[in-house]
Amino acid sequence: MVKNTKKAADFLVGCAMIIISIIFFVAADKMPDSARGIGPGDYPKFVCVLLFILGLVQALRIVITEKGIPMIDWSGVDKRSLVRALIMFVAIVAYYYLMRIIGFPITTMVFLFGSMMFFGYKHKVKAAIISIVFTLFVYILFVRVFQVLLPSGFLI
Amino acid sequence: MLPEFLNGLVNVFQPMTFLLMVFGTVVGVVIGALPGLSGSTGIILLLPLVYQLDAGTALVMLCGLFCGSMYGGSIAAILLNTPGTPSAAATVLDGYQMCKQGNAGKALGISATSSFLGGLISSICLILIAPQLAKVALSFHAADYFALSLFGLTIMASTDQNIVKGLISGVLGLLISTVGIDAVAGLDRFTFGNYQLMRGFQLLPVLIGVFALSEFLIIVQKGGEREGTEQAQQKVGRVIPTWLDLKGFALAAIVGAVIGVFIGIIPGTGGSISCFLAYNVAKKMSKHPEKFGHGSPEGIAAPEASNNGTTGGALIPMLTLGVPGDVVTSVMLGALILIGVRPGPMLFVESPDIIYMIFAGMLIVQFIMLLAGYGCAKISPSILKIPQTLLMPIIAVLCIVGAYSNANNMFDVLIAIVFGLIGFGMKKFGYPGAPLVLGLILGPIAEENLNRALVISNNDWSVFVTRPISCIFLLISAASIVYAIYTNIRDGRKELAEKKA
Repeated sequence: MVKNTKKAADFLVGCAMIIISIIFFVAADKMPDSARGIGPGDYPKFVCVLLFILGLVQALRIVITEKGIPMIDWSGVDKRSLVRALIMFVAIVAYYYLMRIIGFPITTMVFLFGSMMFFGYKHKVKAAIISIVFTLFVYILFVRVFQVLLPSGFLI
Repeated sequence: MLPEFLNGLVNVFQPMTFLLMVFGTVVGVVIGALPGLSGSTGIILLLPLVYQLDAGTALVMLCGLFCGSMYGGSIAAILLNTPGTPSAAATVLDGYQMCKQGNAGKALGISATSSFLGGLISSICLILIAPQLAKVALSFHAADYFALSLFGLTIMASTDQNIVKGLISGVLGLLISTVGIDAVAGLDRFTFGNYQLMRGFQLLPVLIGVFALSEFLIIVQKGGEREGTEQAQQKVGRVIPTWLDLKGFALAAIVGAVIGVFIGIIPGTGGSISCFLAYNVAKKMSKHPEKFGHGSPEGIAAPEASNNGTTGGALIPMLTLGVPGDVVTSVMLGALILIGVRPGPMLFVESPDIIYMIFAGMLIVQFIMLLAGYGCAKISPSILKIPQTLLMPIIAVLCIVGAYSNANNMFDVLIAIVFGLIGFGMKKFGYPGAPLVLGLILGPIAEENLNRALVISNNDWSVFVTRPISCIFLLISAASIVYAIYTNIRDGRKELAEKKA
């Protein structure tokens, strides 16, 4: 078995495209036909066929050149950096959900300060001041000037 | 044409419009200077502001940002040996060398002046070519529009190194565009029971995710501080080039600009391609080719003029056909659609005031950029010292707020976050983001015109090949797909042969 992370990823993407195109094609096939012009399902079906072909070309090419299905080489993956990105992604998702509960101002201040620390910014006091001032600036700009109501949360 | 243009000039010089144009240009220079951030991120960050403005003002501000960011990229290229934007990649070669020789100011001055020359020539070409092309495009029928959409997508996808990856990204964009209520029959498509998806995937959250949040995650993954910030020179010195200097690099700049305009017009190509092309041509034409790579003024002038040359060029297909010329214009197109302006030949008929305001704006922006360029060059070491550790979280928050302000809807924020992750994966594995977004933009246009063409022709599919314009577009699209598959097989064989060897 060949180990090549990039090739393995390309192969997986190719397969994913084939699966996605089949799922969407089946769903589109159930849509009603139209007497004139195209029905709502025809155009998606056309796009699905294109995607299927592209996915197949991608996957087959990898299988042919690598003479088999390549595997992900975990030893070559920089896990620390991936974990960093993952932690930040989870933080953004948490920021999103908390914003709905306790509102934009508090979560934004916490998110800004937390991610500055996570990034390795050294001056805590400066980071805290910037987080607070920037959040208030954005809040006032959007709510007062742009008339966009930022989420205030249902708890506060 | 002249009265409309003068009217455009008057509009551009309205105090608020002018101020926002200056603001856009300066933001562009700063954003362009910071490695990792490019013009497309800049436009995304300004979108909440764009909503508040009328279409013309918003557009000239974005044009300023576009042109400013093209010049800004050279600041990091010259001072840090890292291009601030991909379009400044060729400027590194001679710019950094000149900086090392203690002439940072001179290099920045040459860059600003050539960017100005490139932008000026490019704006003039835009003003001369766009209305003519729009006239031709007015005769397009539904079938031609369908073919044009496919053409735009395949061309943009095929300029990527791996054409199949580009096409996958583009076709996925087309598929995503079909989610939501279908425009013809009013039927729910692929919403899988989620009522929020009935609106379909909104463009702005997807743009924010694919271009901005993904970039944020990439920088997080790389971690910590930008490299080389410390080496940015403190002293910049004289910036404005002397008359003698100008004479030395003017020809290279003009040649670079012309190359830029033509590369810009071709959909899907942009500054990152034209800068190297211009560099090579300038080297061949130069009286001192041996100086290239060792701090030659011409080696800075040609790529910098050419990347700004692409700005007006890239606007030509975007405004006249609704097919963007490069990544930044595809984001700009997204911004236009958000504020209710649908670029295409009809825009020239229905809203000539907007078009001529853009023309006038593009011309004036160049002068603003020249002054802003000289000014920012002086303080550029400080711009580069803005700590990434502070800036990136702020940009992430602005992305979230931008996505929310699209429709005051938290679901859009979620979409931006999800597409941030998708964009991150795409960047990691070499799938370009621009075709995906273009697919999302062109998808509905393609479907609507496909339907219209078939209704008119009573479901006669031959209409797509009997109409010459449509036929030509489809042939080129088909050729680029066949070529894509061919090169894929050829590269695969090469790899096989290398492995055997």
